[in-house]
Amino acid sequence: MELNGVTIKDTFAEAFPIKAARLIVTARDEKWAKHAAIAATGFATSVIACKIEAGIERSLTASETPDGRPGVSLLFFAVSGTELEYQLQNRIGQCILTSPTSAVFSGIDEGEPVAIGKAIRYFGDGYQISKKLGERRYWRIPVMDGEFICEHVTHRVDAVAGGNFLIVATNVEAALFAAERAVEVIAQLPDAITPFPGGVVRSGSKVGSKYKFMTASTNDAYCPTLRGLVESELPDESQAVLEIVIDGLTHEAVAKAMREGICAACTDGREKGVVEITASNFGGTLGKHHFHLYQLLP
Amino acid sequence: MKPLTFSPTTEITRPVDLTPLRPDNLVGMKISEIERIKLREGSDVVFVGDLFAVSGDDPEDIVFDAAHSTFERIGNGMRFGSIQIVGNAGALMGCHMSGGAITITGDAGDFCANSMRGGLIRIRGSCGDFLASGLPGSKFAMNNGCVIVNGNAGIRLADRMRRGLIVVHGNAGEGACSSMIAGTVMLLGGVGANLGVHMKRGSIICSESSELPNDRFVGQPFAGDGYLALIQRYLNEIGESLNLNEKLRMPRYRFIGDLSHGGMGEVIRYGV
Repeated sequence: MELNGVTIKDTFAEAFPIKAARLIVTARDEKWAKHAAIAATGFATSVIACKIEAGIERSLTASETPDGRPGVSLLFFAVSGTELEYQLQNRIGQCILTSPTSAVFSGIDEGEPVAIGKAIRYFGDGYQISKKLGERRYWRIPVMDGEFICEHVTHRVDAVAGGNFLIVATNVEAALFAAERAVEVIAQLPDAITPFPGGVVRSGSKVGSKYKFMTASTNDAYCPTLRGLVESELPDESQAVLEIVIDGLTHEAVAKAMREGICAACTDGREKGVVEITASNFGGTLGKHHFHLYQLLP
Repeated sequence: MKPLTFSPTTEITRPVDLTPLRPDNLVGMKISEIERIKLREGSDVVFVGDLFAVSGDDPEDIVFDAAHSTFERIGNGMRFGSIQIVGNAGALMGCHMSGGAITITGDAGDFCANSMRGGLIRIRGSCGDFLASGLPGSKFAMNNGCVIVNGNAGIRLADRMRRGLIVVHGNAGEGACSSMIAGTVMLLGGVGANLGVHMKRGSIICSESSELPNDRFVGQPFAGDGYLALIQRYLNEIGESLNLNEKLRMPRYRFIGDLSHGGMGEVIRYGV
C-alpha cells in the first residue's frame, strides 16, 4: 500500500491495556495553567522508568472548566490503579498545588475513584475546608496566594497505551518535519496524547537486552548506523527513523490518532524524503490491542 | 405517562401526615391500592381515598393539587423521583429526604428539609422557622442536598447544618446558621440578628449590611472566588438562573468565626 508515494508496511502496532485518568487544571490565565500542566506532566514519557505516561490533551476555555477560568486538560496513564493514584497525588502535590492561582478538578466522572484532594487536603494542616455540591466534593486548602481548590477524587478508566507508528525517511530533517506534522494533527484530537518530548521518540526500543538488568534496549533493526551489523528492517535509502507513540482513553481514540497522524506525516509524500511508514510490535506478546496499518488507512 | 396527582375532595382542616405518599413508596402500586393507604389525620386514621381523588400513572412524578398548610411531612424520607406541590405545605416538608426533588409553588411550613440527606427542594414562596435544621435533640441537621427559597425564611435556619447548600433570595430571620457545623448558606436578602452565632465551620454568604458580633468574627479581604465559581456551576446545573458575579458585588470580605467556637467558619460579605 502507498500513501502519496510513501510505502505503508503491512504490519501492526501493538498496544497494551493501561489505567488512565484525566485532570483539569485551571489558573487565573492560560499561561499559569500551562505552567502547572507542563510541570505535572514532566518526566512522564514511558511507564518503563517514569512509572507514568502523561501529556496535555488540550487547552480549555473558561466556559469549559468547572471554575470558569482558563484551563488545560491532562491525561495520565499508569499500569495499575495504585501506581496511577500514587503518581497523581505526587504530581498534584508537587507541581499543581505549588503553581500560583491553580486549581485541579476531575476530568472523568465514571470509573473507579482515584483519591486526589482526599490525600492532598492534609497539606491544609487542619485549616482545609470540605465543600460538597451535588455529588462532587471539593477541598479548599489555604495557601499563600489564597486558596487551592482540589476535587476530592477523580476516576480511572481502562485505556490503551503504546499505539505507535514509525516514520522512515531519507534524512533526519525529513523525518522530523513529518513527525512534527503528525503530532500537530494528533494534538487536536480528544482522548489521546503523545507522551514523549514534542510527541516524538527517536529511541524506539525492543523488549530485552544482552544485559540482564535491562528490560528494554535500542531497537537495532531500525537503527541506520547498525545496518550491516544486525538484521535491518530499513530500506536502503533511509537514514533516520522517528516514532510517534500514542496513548488514548479508548481503542478508537488511538486508532483515529494513528490514522490522522500517518496521513499528516505522508502529506508531502516521498518527494520530501518520507520513505516508509511502519509500526512497532512484539509479535503479539506485549498487548491485546493490535492496530493494523492496512485496516486503519483509507 | 401522567403524573400521579392527588386532588383533595374535601376540606382538610386537621394536619394530615403524607409521609406514605412519596415516589419510592408508591412505585408498583395500582391506584386502587394507593387509595387504601392509611394516613393519619389529626388523631384519626383515614384512607387516601377518603381525602384525595387519585389520578395519573407515574408514581415517580407526584403532584399535590390545591395543597394546604395542613399537608404535613410531604416527601418525608423520599429517596428518588419528584413531588410538585401546587399551593402551600405544612411542617416537615422534605425532612429526612435523601434524593429526588420537591418543588412547591407556595409557602412551606416549619422544619422544612429537617435532617435532609440529599436531593433538591425548591420553594417558590417562603418557608417557616428552622429550615434545614435538626429536630430538637438531634446532633446535626441537614447533611447534604440543596434547598432554594425564593421568598423569606424564618428564624434559626440551618441550625446545626452539617453539609449541603441553601439559597434564600428573600430575608432570613434571627439566628440564621446558629451552631452551624459545615455547609454553605447564601442569604441574598436581609438577615436577622445573631447570624452565625456559635458556628464551628461552614460558609455563610450575605450582604455587607448583615451584622456580625465584632468580638466573634474577624474580617479580611476575600480571596476565594474559585469556590463561588463552583457554586455558580452547580446552580447552573440544577437550572437556577442566579448570576453570582452580578449579585455578589465587590468589595467582598471574609470574616472568620465564631472565634468562641474555633473560628473555622466563614462569613463572606458582598457589597450592595
